Amino acid sequence: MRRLFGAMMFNIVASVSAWSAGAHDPTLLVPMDRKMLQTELSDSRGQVLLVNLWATWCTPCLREIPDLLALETDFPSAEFRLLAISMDDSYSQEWVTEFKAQHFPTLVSFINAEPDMDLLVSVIDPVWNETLPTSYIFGRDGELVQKIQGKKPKAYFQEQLIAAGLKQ
Amino acid sequence: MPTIDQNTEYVLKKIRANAGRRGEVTCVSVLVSSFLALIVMMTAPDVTAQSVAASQSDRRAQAPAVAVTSDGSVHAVWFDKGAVGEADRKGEKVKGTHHSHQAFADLHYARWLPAAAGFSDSVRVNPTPGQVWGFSISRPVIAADENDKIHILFPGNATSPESGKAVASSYYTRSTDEGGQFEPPIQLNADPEDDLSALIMGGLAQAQVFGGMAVSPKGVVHAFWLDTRGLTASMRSSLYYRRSDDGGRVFANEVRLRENEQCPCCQVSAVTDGEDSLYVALRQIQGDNIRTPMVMHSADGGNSFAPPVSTGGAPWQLEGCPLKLTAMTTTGSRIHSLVHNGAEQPPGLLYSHAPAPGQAFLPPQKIHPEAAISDSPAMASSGQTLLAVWHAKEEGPRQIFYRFSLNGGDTFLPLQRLDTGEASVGYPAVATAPDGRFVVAWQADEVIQVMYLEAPSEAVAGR
Repeated sequence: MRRLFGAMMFNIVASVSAWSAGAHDPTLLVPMDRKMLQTELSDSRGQVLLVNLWATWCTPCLREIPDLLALETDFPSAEFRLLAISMDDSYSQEWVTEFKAQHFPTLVSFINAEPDMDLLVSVIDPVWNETLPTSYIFGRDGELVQKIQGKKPKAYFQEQLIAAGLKQ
Repeated sequence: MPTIDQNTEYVLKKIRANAGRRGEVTCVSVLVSSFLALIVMMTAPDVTAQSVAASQSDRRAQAPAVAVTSDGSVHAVWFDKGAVGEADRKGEKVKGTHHSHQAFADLHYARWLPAAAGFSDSVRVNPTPGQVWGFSISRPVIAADENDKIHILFPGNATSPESGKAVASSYYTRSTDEGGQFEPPIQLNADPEDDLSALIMGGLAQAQVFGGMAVSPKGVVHAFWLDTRGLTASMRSSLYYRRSDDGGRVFANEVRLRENEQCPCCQVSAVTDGEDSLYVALRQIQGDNIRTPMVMHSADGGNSFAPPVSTGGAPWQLEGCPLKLTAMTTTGSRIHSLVHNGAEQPPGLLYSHAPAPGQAFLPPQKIHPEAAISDSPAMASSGQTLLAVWHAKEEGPRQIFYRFSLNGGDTFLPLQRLDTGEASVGYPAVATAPDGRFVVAWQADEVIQVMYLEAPSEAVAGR
C-alpha cells in the first residue's frame, strides 16, 4: 500500500509540475507516466512526430541527440516535433536535468516516471526489447509508421521523416 | 536436432510406439495427451503460495541472483536502490563528479535457511553506501562452492587515482561462514590510467564492469569483465580475466583475453563443468556493428581458451546498447545457450547447444515461439534435466515463463508460466539445489521473490 501510495503521489506531483511549469520547457525534465505519454501523442496529431528513447548511460544515444536536434532546424516546427524521453531512473531526475542542461540545453525531454521503463514504452511499443537508442516516427494521423533501433545518421532520419510526409 | 516445439510430438511418438495399434493412434493420442496435460497442470507448483519475498516491500530491489549451498540454504543478492519514494541523492555522498553512466545502489544479501519460513533480514554487502553501480542489465553474480563458501561479483563506483574522475570497477567478495559475514571487497581490475570521458561522453572516465563469474566445485574462482582500456571511437570493449585458485583469497594478475571486439554493455556470463572445463559467453561486434553471441571454452581451468564460437541466429546489426546477456549451463558434455536476438521477427530468445566442447552449436530454435517478445534468460541444470527461465510478453503484460528439458536439451516440455499475480515482473535468475530442484528468483514490482521449481518426473513427462 505504501509503495502504491508513493507511486501515486509521485505521478500526481509529476503531472501537476508538468501542467504548471510547462512540459515543453527545455530547462525542465518532466517525469512522464503512461497517461502523460498518451496525452503527448494525442496532442501531436497534425505533426510528424519523432519519439526518441535515450539514457545518460547509453553513449550511442548521446552521440545521436545532436543530429536529432539538427532535424528541428531542418523542418518547420508546425510540421515536425521531436519528443525525447530519458529512460534513466526517474528518481535521478535532478542530476539528469543537470546533465541535459550541460550537454543538450535545447532538447525538450521527459524522463520515465514508471517503475519499469518497459511499462512506459509499452504505450507505443508492446514488444520493445529494451534496446537503446530506439526511435518511433508517427505520421500526422497519429499512426506509428516507423521503428528505428540503434544510432542512425541524420540523413537516415531525414529520409524516414520525408517518407512519413514531411517536406524539407 | 528436433526443434523445441516438437516436444509434444515427441511425447505422442512415445505413446504411438507403446500403443502399437495404428488405427487407434489418433484417438489414444488425444486422450492420453489430454491426460498428460492434466497431470502436468495438477503437478505444477502453486507459485503464489510457495514464493517468498527476499527483499522488503518498502524498498526498491532489482536484478536478483541466487545460489544454494549444500544444506539447501538459498542465498540471494540484489541491487537495493533505496526506499520507495526516496530521491536518488546517494551520489552526493560518493567521491567523483556526476557522470553520464551514474548509478548509486547497494548490494543486499539475505539467506533462506532450510527450516525457516522465509529469508533473513537483508544486509548491505558493500561497505560504502552507494558504492554499487547497479542496473537490471548489469547484474550481480553469486555462486557457492562445495565447501559452502559464497562468492559474489558486483559492479561498483570508484574514482580513478590517475585521472581523479569517476570510473566503474568490478569487485569480488566472499563469505566463508555461509553468509554470516562478507570480506571487504577486492577491486579486480587494475586502475585505468587514461581519461576516456570525452569518448564515453559525460564524465565517466572508464568502465571495467558487466562482469561474469564461475566457481568450480572445489572453489576455483573465475572472474571476467568488459574493459574500456584501449577503447577507440568504434566503442568495442576488451575482455579481461582473473582467477583465484584458493577459494577467492588471492587472485592471479589480470589477463586480457580479447581486445577491442566486445559489445561494451552486454554482460559476460560464465559456467564451469567440473574443475577444468570453463565456458565464457560474450557478445562480439563483427563487421558493421553485427552483435554476435559467442562462447569461449577452456579445457584447462582457464590457462588457455579456444577461439570463441557463435551460438547462431540472424545477424543483429545495432549501433546502440543491446544490454543482452547469454545464459549458459551444462549437461554432460553439452554446453547450452539461451540469448536474445533483436534481428528475429519478433525479437526473442534463441536456444542452442553444442554437443561437446569445441564443437559448433546446433542451429538455434525459438524457445517461446508464441511470444511477441522474450528476453532476460536464465538457465540451470541437474543431471540431464535442464531448466530455462525468462520473461516475455504474449498478449498482455510481461510475465515469467519456463520450460524443462529432461533429456539434456534434445526436447523441451511444454511452456509454463509462473503465476505471479498482477505484479510487474521480470529479470529472473535460477540456481540448482543439491536435491535436484531449482530455485528461481525474480523482480515483482521491485520486490525480489524466490521459489522452488521441481521438474516433473519422467513418468509424468511421458518418458
